[in-house]
Amino acid sequence: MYSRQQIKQKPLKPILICAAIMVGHLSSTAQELSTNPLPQNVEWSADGDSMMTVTGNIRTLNLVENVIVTQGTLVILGDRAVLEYDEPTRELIRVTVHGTPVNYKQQLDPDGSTVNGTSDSILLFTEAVTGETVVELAGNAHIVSPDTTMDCAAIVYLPNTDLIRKATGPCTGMFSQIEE
Amino acid sequence: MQKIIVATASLLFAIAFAFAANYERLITDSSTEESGSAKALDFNAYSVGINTVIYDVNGEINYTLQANRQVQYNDDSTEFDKPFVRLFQEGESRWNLVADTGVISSASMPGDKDMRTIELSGNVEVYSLDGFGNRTVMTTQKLMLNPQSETLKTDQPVVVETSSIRQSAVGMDADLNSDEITFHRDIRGIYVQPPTN
Repeated sequence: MYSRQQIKQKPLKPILICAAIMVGHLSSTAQELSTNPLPQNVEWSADGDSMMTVTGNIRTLNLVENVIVTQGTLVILGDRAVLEYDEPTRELIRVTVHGTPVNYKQQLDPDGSTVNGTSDSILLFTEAVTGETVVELAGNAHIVSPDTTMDCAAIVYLPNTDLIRKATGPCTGMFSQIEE
Repeated sequence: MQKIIVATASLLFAIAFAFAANYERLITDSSTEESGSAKALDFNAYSVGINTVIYDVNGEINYTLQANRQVQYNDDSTEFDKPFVRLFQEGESRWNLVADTGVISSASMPGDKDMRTIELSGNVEVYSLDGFGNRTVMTTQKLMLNPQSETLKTDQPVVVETSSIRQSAVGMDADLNSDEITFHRDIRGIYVQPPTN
């Protein structure tokens, strides 16, 4: 039989340990999400002229002619691209590819399921708050993923979770998963 | 045994005689070659450990040129060994260039030699440090530098590296005043995510 004081003290220790573990996990997660560069290495190639300029804190790289941008299994093919890089933090902020049209493809799973898309332009970046890789297809956007086939004016797609975050109409096609 | 000694002595004597007979001709050929070479390598100045400072019209340093050795030829060209060029903007050194050799050609521009382009060859490296501590390095094997306009030009393979970006191309024009670099073809680049602290 425990005294009132013992009952109060007994669960305190494991609660404190659990709390410490949770705080540590949350703080490390927060630190990871607070810096938002594009994860993994990003590679590019182009056949034509490329211009690199620095304005303020931003270094901009313009590519033209047969532009290919890759990030892991993600591949974007276009006619020209703009890469923006933050000098103080040394992080690649975003990649914008333009084309007639731009082609996007990515292997989603090790089992080989893929997503394909086309649009007038594609914006690739990592979201600051969630750390999610975001692929924005703008202008005559078309996407085919394992669960979705859509044509819209613009589509915001999350390849990590195979979700359509936003679809700007008019749209046609069918979709099975939209992020709420 | 005696026969062997005699044969050896005869052989040595024959070799010595042949050498002596041709000695004068060897000396004559050598001196003819030397006088010919001396005529081709006409130079009027030779310096070691040079350090040249060029000022702009406002009296501020435009650029400096150091080299292990400098040879100025009669055709008004100048050759540098291990040149080191520092380009200044608003009194501060921003861009630095090193190479194995440098040449200011007599044909590059008339008039003031300080206005001429410098051709840098062999392990050419152009580097700077920005206000954020990020280093930018360009490497190539051959580069034309105009120190007055602070422009670079090459048609060779070139690599530009910053802290997280590495890009290679063939051919480049750079304006170091405005930090604009144009790469001409065969662009290949990679961004390596910086380590999280």
